[in-house]
Amino acid sequence: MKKTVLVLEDVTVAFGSKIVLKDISFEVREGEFWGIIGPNGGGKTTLLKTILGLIKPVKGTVSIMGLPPKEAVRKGYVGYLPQRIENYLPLSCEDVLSLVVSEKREIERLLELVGMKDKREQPFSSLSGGEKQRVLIAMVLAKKPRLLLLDEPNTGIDIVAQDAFYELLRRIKVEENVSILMVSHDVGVIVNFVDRVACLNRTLHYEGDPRGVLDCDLLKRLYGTDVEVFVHHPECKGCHVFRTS
Amino acid sequence: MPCVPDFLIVPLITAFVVAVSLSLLSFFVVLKRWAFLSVGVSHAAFGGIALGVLIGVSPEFTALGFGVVAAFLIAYFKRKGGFHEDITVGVLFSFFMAVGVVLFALSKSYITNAFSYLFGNLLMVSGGDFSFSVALLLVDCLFLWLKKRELLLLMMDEDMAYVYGVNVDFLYYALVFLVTINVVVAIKLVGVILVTALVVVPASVALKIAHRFWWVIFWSVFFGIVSTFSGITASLLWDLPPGATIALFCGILFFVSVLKRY
Ligand SMILES: Nc1ncnc2c1ncn2[C@@H]1O[C@H](COP(=O)(O)OP(=O)(O)OP(=O)(O)O)[C@@H](O)[C@H]1O
Repeated sequence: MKKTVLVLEDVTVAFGSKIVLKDISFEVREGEFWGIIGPNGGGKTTLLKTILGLIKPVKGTVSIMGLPPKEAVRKGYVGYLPQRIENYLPLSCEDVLSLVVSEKREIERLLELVGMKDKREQPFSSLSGGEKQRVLIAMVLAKKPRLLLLDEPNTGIDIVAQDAFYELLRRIKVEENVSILMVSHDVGVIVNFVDRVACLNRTLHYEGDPRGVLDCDLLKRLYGTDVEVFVHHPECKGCHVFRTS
Repeated sequence: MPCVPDFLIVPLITAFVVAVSLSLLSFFVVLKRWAFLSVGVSHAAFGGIALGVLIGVSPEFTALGFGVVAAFLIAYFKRKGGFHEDITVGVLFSFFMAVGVVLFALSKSYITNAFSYLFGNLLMVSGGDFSFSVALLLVDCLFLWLKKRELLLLMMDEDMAYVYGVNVDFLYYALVFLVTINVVVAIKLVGVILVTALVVVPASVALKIAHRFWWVIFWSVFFGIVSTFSGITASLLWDLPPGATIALFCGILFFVSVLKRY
């Protein structure tokens, strides 16, 4: 049995009297790639911030490698990529990495890992959305985390770059032996790439095999209305539209 | 530059020191979108100045007190998201400004004094101001040098900075505090209303032409000095308030940099 990296037990989060997450429990094991889907305002970002220890749950516990979140973060077990970062930083790709790594050789290795070695001297602000994500993934990997938390890393990236990005994450997952928890809105895309899916709208509506997500009742319950999901396969072999109505 | 009389030498050197300080911090103000924060701080300081004048306490201290209180309130609400930033700034800045106007009116020194603080007056700058601004410049440089890595992570994203071990709350408020002191110190030279130009324009222009951190800082300082030099020269030549002429040159610089892009 693989080791457990993250455990959430009955986690409830509230802002004032508004309950945003209710009784969330699940476990992420070593080397698993999780996709978290759900509607806007469903609590996905709040969940990631709770795992990071930035928000304290009113009930329940979070533990990462057996430690409370803040301690796990301090030990470098957690990497985090937020939804948006400042785009106008006057830094080259190398400079971005040197904020978190001091050895030049390690910077080169990380840029090579994400396929950005050739552009190491290019200004970060001049890169395309997909390239920026690659550099940031390299940055996040620098501390050799055991758990990566990615908040909608593919917003604004075209579908070809997205496929490449997911492939990269799958490769990194194996090579760096890291578990990944990724928030995404692309239901039809992530079901092809992740090992497990969590469907979140205040409570956990589903947790398990990605194939189980394409279920009319589940998607209607999750989004509160009928939805259409474009199910995308790499190179569009077998792409189709899934409708709940 | 016209022949400079002796009594203007200290104010002039002080002006350059202050310009360098503000330009150094300009990068962070621009990236953190704090232009409005500097407006709030400077106008709040005006209330403090008036109080100082009225009760006979050195206005520098009261200005700093008011500025710091306003800065922390604005920064706190901006981060916690309780109110929209423009609401906090809008309320605080008009409130403190109104306090200033009322107090100046009560102290019967409204017209001359208030005008100097609103638009800057080189003659108000003393030897003490010069020493303080030099000390402040050293603190700014040291802060930037020692905290460069943490500051850049903070600019990138606060939660990400936290993951990399940055003490985000401390650094954020330290930066707010430093920007506040620098803005308040510049008021005598550039005035309450126009100090924002010198905090915002240098880095905005520098970011358009440079893509590495130290180059942005270099060009920022360069543009800060150029605007100040040109502004003060014009102010001395035509006997105009230096704040207005410096802000005019900042504006021209900005418009030229925008036009050059098209
Ligand atoms: N600091 C806060 N104070 C009060 N309410 C908050 C706070 N942060 C989030 N919320 C509320 O919690 C709910 C969940 O927000 P969250 O950002 O976690 O959703 P999300 O699923 O990530 O949405 P999106 O897909 O739009 O990014 C929303 O209703 C939001 O308004």
